[in-house]
Amino acid sequence: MEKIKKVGVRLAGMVRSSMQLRMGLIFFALVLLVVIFAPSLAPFDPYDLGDDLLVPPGTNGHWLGTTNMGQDVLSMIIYGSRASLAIGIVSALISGVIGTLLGAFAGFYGGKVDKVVSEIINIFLMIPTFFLILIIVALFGSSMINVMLVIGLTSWPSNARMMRVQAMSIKERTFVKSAISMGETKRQVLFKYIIPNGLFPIIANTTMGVAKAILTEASLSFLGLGDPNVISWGQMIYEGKQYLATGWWMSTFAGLFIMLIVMIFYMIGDGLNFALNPKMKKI
Amino acid sequence: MKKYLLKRIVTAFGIVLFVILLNYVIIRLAPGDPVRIMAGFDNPSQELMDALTKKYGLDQPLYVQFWRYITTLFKGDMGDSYLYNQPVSSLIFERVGASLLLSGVSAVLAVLIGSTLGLYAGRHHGKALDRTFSGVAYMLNAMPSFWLGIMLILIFASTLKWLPTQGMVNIRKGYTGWAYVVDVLQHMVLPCATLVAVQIPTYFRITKSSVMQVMAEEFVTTFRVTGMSERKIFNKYVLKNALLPIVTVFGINLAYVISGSTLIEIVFSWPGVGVLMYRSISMRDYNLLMGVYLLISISVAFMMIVVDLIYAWLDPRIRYD
Amino acid sequence: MNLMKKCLIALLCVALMMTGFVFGASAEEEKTLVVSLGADPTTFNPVMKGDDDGHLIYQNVFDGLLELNYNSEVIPGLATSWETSEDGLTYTFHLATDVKWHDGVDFTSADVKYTYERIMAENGFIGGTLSATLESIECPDDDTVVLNLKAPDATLLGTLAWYEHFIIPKHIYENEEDWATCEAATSKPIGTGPFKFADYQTGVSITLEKNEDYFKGAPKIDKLIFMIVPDDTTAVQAFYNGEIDILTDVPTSEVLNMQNDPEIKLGCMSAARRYQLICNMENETMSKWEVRKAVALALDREEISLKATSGLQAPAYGFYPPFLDWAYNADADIGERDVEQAMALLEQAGYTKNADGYYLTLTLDVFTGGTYADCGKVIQANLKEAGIDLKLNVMEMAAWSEKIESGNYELGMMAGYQGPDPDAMGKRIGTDQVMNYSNYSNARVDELLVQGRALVTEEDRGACYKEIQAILAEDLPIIPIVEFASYHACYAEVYGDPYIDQIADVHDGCSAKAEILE
Repeated sequence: MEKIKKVGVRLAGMVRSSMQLRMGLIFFALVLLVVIFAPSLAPFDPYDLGDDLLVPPGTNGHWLGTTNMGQDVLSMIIYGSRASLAIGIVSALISGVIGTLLGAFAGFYGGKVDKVVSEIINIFLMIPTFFLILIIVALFGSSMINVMLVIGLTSWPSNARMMRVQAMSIKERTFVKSAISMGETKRQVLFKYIIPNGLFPIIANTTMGVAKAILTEASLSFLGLGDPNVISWGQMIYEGKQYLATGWWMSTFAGLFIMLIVMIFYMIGDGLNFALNPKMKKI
Repeated sequence: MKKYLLKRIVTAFGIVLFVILLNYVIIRLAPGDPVRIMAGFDNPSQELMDALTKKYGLDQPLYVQFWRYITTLFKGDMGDSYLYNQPVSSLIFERVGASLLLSGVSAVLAVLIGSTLGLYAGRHHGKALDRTFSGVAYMLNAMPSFWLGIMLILIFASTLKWLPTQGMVNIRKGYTGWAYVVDVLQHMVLPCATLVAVQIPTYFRITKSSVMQVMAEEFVTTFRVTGMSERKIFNKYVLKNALLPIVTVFGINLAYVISGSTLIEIVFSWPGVGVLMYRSISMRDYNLLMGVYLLISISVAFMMIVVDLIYAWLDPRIRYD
Repeated sequence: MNLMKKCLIALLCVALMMTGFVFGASAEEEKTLVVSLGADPTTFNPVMKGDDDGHLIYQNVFDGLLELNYNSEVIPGLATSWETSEDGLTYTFHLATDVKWHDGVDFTSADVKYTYERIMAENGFIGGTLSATLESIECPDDDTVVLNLKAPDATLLGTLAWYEHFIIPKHIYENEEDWATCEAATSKPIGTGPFKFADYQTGVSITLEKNEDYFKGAPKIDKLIFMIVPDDTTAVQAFYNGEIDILTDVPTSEVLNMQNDPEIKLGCMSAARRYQLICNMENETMSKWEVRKAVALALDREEISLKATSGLQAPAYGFYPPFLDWAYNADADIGERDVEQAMALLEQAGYTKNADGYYLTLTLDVFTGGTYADCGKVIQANLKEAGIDLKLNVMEMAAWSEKIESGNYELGMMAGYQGPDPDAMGKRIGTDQVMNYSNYSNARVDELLVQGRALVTEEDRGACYKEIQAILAEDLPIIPIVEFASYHACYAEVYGDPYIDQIADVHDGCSAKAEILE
């Protein structure tokens, strides 16, 4: 309880210190509301094929127009936020968890363990990620789960590298040393002190990771490798791409919302980084 | 130093090998049969499919195929493309020039423009121009590259008709000599602008933040107090420190220059390696796909070493063990 | 800072060069036609394997003994006339005289014999069909070829006219042990066609030059360039911006736009192809007739056509594409939509509604591209009304085909060419045939297919195929959805695309008669 309170206080301090972070969080809260209340916010069922085909924004209650198949674009945008956000957050979380655990493990234990893990991190840093994602999704199918897993499993090395450095410095600190001398096991120290105290930069990086994952999903969709059974913003761009001349509204709004959500996550990430860096505050 | 370099090369070699294996396994475990695609989907003939399977040795167990691939690879032969019946190396070689040209020029322009703007913004933090740059950088960073490319086509090619829509040359005219160079440059403007635009934010951000970080360092304050001129501090200390992260990112970007940018090459029909690789995936052209991926891995490994060396040269404090 | 200045100067120079170029544009008058192509051809050996991208090139560089026109009708190619013996076992072809290969060597009947024999020996694209049918090939003189058959085969002419059926030069290929990797196959094809192969830049373009000595008359344009544009949105923009003259494969979305433009002409390739559902008869659920019938009854083909294809692909009625009057059975169809009866059938088969209101869940596998996925979405909505929960699974082509072929599916959707002879339907519904993904087997159908192949007159043969369609309408291994449609577009001043201008005496995809009108 004490710990959570401390983290909370620290977070609140950060929010106060960074305008970007504040703005980002406010927007993010708005997006979350949309995601949660999608069914009541959307004027139509986004999967419903209506009789208004490719009508421009503002026709018959379709504020943002309809697709060539009569789906309401606004409702698709609202529901699409779920898929896009889910892909972004889940894959960033996968990458965050793997990165944190491996990095902390290597940094804290040091020695041979560190050498092996560092080498693994190096290998993965050298793998051309986007191409690997492309190949795996193209070959094994583009279901949402696949996309999330692949992005998550290929993007952890930067988190791991960061956490490793954190762990190496934190383990030298007095409170960790005293905890060890008090007889706490290594595992306890790792999870109770090292990870919680080194986590903030990873959180910032993971937030950026969400943004990158959303962009990656959009890129995959552009190549026709999105999940066609789920309405996502990337998928909407792909389907609307053909209709740029005749129905610009099909993909333009989806593109704008991708930009918006990506900017929100970059703002949060940047804000966190800024607030975390004590030297920056002086400026 | 020499020992360190040797060690790095050995590791890089190991990594490339590992990547080949990983890739081979992934590709071959995937569903889809190249023979089926080669035979065509309309009324394929079973005899043709059997003959093709045998010809490319696809009836052999996987480990036999892999062993054969690796051994021929060490002889410098990347095998033949199933799709084009030509050596993979010559197919890649034909395309690599176009990728190098587009991505290389873009990478250089991006680093120049991005870091220049970053330096300015970092030095004049909080001023109007800094805010404008930062805002634009945010937007560019959040923009899907292919989307920007399509928009540029719609604006500059379709509406304003200033520039060609796609391709690398005007094939109708078939220019030679100087006119050819101009023609290629014209075709390059839009794809290049797209690539530069999406790469600028990275350089801008790292340059700006490292400048700001260094400016906040105590030694800078000390220098200021001792009366050293702002300009001297900036040129002598701030600039040098900002260079390190720029070099890293630039090096990594250069590593991918050889493979081009698949998305942008597709949008602009640029005849580079990226398009080739994308097609090899959908057609299950195993050898070609492996070849392209191998090339990318090698160039990444190579550039990582180069980046490390430059790093060492720029910052002698880094120790090698 | 110095570096910056240098860069700026360099940039300025580039800009200056470009403006200079715009104003000093050169003008040389060669009649050139630019045609879009989606991807690089994989080979220039025109008989080795099926290649849709290569096909357009082959059609202009090579000739077949016979050809198909835009409407899938057999027309003369290198053979100007032909006759069949009474017993249907001997086909005699009279070849055009004074035909020369692009390298100046005379074309003779020996080339034809050599081509077919090599195709059979190497298992080329039509190798299987030829081996099954041909007994021997004779060349009584330079201008006559005689094909002796093992048994009467009414489909032979169609095979010789259809796909990757071209005649290759004996004097070149007989020296090549590997017909896939030789120069003629990779970079220097030699044919007899209206255009000579001039230049190939991978990923960029293929340039053909007119063959002054073409035996059907020299083309009116000097150069035919195929420009490779992988992304169709980009291709459309390039067409609008005048960089492409003939756009092949126009996206549905743009067809509507172009229809309203008086400057643009459109042509549709549709004959003998259609979208159809395939039901896996070996799947436990789909093996039930009631389920298949319920699916068929729940479909609203008009709605699918309208919403998924903007009405550009007409609803498909009957069990064979209606391009051949003598073979099409208009009475065999799945009938009017009847959701009530569909639900009644499901209940009859023992299904009950679950809490969500569904009797059962089915999965429909389609591949990317075309309007397959969009059709699937409307079908999904259609079936929902009849209490069938349809899951749509869109896959990349290669993965799709592997899944369908392994028989691990319930419903699939596909199109593909079913001509030029109705016998081609046999590949999809004959027991153990190569494209019978429905795993359908009906002894009567098999019998009728054999009969139809052996009979001679269209009337007799038509009766067989019409009966097959009636059986299919009852058994429902396949269910018709919408007709196929692939559009070509060009500007009004361009003439000569066989689809757009409906030119009956040119083979499909060949620009032999193309010209640029002033």
